[in-house]
Amino acid sequence: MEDPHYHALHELFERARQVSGEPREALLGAADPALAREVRGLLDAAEGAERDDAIAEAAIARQRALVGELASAAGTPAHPKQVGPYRIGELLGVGGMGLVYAAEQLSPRRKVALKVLHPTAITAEKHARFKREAELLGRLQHAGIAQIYEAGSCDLGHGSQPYFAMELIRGANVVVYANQARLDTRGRLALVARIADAIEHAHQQGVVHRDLKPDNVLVDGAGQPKVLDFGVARPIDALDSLALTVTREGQIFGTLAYMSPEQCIGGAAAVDVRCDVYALGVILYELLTGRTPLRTDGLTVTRAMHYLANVDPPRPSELDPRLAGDVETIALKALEKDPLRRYARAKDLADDLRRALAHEPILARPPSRAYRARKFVRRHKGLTGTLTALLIGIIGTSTFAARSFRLSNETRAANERLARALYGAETRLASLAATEPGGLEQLRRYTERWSDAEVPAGTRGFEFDLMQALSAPEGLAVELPQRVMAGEVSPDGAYIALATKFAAEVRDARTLAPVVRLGEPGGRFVFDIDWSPDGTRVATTDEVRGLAVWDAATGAEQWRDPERLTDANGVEWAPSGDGIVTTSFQGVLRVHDAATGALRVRVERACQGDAKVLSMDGRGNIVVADQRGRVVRYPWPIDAATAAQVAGPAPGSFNALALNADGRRLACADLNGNVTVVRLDSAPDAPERTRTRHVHAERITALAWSTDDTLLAASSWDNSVSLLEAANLQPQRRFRPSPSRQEFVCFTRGDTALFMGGYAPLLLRASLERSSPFQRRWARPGSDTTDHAVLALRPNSDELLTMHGTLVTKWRLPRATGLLEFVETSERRAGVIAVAPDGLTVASANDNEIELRSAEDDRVLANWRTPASPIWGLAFAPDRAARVYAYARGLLLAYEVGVEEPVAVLDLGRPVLAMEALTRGRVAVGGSNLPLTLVDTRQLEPGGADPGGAAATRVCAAAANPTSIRVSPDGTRLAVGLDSYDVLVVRLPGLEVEHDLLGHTGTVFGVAWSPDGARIASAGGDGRVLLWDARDGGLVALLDQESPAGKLEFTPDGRQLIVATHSGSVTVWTAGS
Amino acid sequence: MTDLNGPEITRLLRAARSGDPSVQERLLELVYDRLHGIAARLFVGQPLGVTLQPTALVHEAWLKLEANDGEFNDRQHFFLVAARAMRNVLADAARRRNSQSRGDGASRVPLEDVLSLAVDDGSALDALVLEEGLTELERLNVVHARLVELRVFAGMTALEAGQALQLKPSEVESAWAMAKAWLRRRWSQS
Repeated sequence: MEDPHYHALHELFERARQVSGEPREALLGAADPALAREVRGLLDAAEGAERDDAIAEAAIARQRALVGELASAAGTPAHPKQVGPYRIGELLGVGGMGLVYAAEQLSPRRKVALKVLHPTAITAEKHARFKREAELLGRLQHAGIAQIYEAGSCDLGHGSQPYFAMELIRGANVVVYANQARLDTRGRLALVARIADAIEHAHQQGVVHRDLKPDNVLVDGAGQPKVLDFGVARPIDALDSLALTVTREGQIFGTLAYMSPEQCIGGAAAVDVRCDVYALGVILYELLTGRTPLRTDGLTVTRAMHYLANVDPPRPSELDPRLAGDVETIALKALEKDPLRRYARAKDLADDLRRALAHEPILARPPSRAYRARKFVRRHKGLTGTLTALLIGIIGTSTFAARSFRLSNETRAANERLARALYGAETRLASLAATEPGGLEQLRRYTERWSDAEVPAGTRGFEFDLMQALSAPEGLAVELPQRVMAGEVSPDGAYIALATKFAAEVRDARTLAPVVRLGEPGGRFVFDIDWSPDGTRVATTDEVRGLAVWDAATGAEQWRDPERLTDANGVEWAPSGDGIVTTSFQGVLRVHDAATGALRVRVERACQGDAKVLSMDGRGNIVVADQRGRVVRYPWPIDAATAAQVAGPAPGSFNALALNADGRRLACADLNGNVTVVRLDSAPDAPERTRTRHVHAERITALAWSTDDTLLAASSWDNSVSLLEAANLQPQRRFRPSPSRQEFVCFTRGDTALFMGGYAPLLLRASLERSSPFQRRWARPGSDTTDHAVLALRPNSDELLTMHGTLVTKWRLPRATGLLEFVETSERRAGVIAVAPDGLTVASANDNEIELRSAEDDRVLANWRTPASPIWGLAFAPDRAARVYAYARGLLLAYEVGVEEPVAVLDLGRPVLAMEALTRGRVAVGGSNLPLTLVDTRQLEPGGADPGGAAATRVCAAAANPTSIRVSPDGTRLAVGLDSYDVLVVRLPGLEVEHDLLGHTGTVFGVAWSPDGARIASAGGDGRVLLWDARDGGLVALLDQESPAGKLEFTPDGRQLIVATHSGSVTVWTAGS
Repeated sequence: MTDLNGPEITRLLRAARSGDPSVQERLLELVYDRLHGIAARLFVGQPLGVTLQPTALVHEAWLKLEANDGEFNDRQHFFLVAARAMRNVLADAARRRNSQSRGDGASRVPLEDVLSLAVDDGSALDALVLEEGLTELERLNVVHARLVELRVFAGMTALEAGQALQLKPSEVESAWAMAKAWLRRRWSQS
């Protein structure tokens, strides 16, 4: 069915849009005038629409990507026949993380359940951890636990997929079973007691289930309950799952009903055995009443958290009067919101259940009337509606203050806890979202909300200021009439010249305001643009004039190519000012006289036709990419005879080139997103001559060097612009100025900002100075190193010392920009450094010599030899600058400066990897197979109580294999990073574990306390930099997830967090003030 | 609300291939209900997180259907129906909101992302303006209207949409250019 007029329109439109100029006019002139008029309208509309198409296409592409994610999340892959050594049978179930099949193992011959997780981007390291965890869980052997046999990974054509094999249970989920078997209340209580037995067994082995729900408890034909899925998938997705659920769906589905309030709010960090007790309570409640205690279906995350934390479930006896009494008391005790009021262990719950069955008195007590009254107040004060209202409304209202002082204090404490937990949950999500495209908007919304909320003092911390700084607009953007093809900053840095699709213009580099237009707009496609070295003129290439030169002040055309060679595309103005070089679509390289336009040199078949692959150094020497995929260099003055190949041939062809100012380094980019840097000043076969890195997913359209040659910028069709470390091509930042292809990028003079633009008609100037997550970096030139940089801050100064190999570098941290300013570098025959608490002395050690120098003038203050070598670590006592500790393998040495012999020595028997000096002669150490150990060196000193060392040490067995130890600013706690990926907060002096911070998925290499003691930062081999609330152990922000990092330090003012990454660079996170 | 995952929708989808218009209408109704349900659940009052886009919604509905009935495999046909249903959902929502907000000045309901093809005054395209244009285009050339639906509301590529509509690639390109130009011209005149 088609309208005849529309059909005629379409036909003519289709023919007309295939041609242009004269032929189109002829075609339209021959047609019916009314029809032709309409078709002209359509053609105009189509051309006008072209500008928007890039945006629309990009938007469609983004939709498709979203759909792709959705599809892989919901995934219904084809049924595999074989996975590893398993022959696959029927599909048993589909879960959030993967599919479960019945499978047969050939040797040993047995039937198993095989859980194959969805393919995700997981690293080899995560795989290894997944396997290790499966082995650990394999040791759980209990009649009530489905045995894990082994873990592995397979590739079924969707990328690597981890799987694990476990005991095949044929049975129904516990709730379904109880109903089918028509169990009475006694039968149900007994069933929960048996599940609790299994959970208790796991707890005794140190395993917390974390995701206990009826779907994970099956009852087999013999009536034996079997618990499945003990956190085996945790390493794959420990931190991300909640956040993904939230950001992608806006809702939490599924298992929220079984999550304890602290788990829901505090995430992985809050999980302990009592979360499983809570889940057992929910199962018990559900088995007794037929429903879950709290229904969160359809609630958003914040509402659900609010609900879980504030609302008490209906008492079971309200639903069924027969449940009044002990049974109800037991269920409600397991469901207490405060973990401390809950059964401490699964065994306690099982015991009480059995007492009730045997008609013995139970241990649980119904809550006292006074307690209930307090809860009532809290609940009604808490139910004030929205989150913000909740936070503002509760604290210290007048009616409330009129009640007893004690009551208001308790309620206030409870509400403060809640406010902190909600705050932590939101910062965590916001920080995760911030790394996504569009995340800035989310950050902005978040910081606005929480900057107004009245929260308890100390709730907002470093992360809040940081996010505020990050969410500030990072640059300036202006709309242009057309898409940008190329841009160039004027020699004095004051202007930027732009080649846009149908015009060329000059804009103010600071305000981006238009200054002058070069010729009339429209009608011609401008390909490239460049400034004369004196900044008075601009050269352009366009499809009508070919090469043309303009007065930069007036916009008047000075000359255009007399021969009208309209095939010119790339253009560069020689630094001598007298020549202009162009490449052409026909592959011709030309040099024109800059005064007249006369053609001076012509080299046939010199360059690629379809791209502007021309770059010039500060002396006029050029490189072009030729038709054979090679890069050829022509020294100035240009002559075909002196050409020499300097790079390539590339497998794909080169699409962008950039020579640095001195012409010694060449950056090339290809159609596949790879950037290669070639050192033209080194021998062709030198090992460090070339370096390549895959940087973008699509073709790179332009490359630019920073003025100081330390940075490279690349724009790409993958809709992003990247800022790279020139020495190792590590991406430092990525900009997504608009969801469209990016065509050009260049630095401001002084490298303070980047200009960028592309298909979406926008010009963006992104600041590299303020509010940028990646500030300034340093690196040992030309090497990708995995050495850990060692950091030391000098208190009361702006100085930062870093150590890399044997190089000690001094930096200054200017307050305004947060950029690291290089001061000096010096070589020390040393492997470790430490700064005295007063900042005046720097200690370094090398093999068996310790040296103290003045931090001011580098004068040697003392040096002495040690009895053991090599010295791996050094520390000053915080309370006495004359006390220095060192360790060499397992030997701990204490020195008084001026005394050559150690005043105390202790052989710990195992290699020390981490040390922290405490006050009063105490030292905390830990290492390989050496759990956290507190040593009182004064007891070891001559005349001390314990020269043998036995009584001088205290050990925290839970902190096995520490890799970093730091004491809190008030000296009451230690933060201990472990190679088991945990960070423990340990109380002094007893070394009781206060918090176990779970969020890393790799060895934790560094921990640091913020100077106010409110935050702990940690960095690990997993690339994550995490920020924790030191009081409640909640994760409050994820700062980074791509930079494996070692040491980190807060500045003394708490405004900056400095992280040494494994790539040898230093990242400075600067929080707004 | 009839459940999309019920057997009826699968049966109807199979039957719809015969081209019976009453079946098509019934199917559209069912899918509309389902999408409307998902949309109501997801679009309303979210303090956190990203809203699901219309196209993602359509795909989610498809994945649920497919997971429910593994044998059934007529993605293209489902999308034809779902894109139309999605268009109706959005247009209805826009009308409803317009009628609610009448009087306080705020009457435009801009569509996000895919639909934000800027018109000449630079403002985002209104859902209802698109709806009116599509309704008229439907009368003139139903294939062109379906093509726009598939691309805009179901996020299909030109190639996919062409397959669903049984068009050759060259025909798709020509039809897409024409439909866009026509819609755009209509907007610039209105």
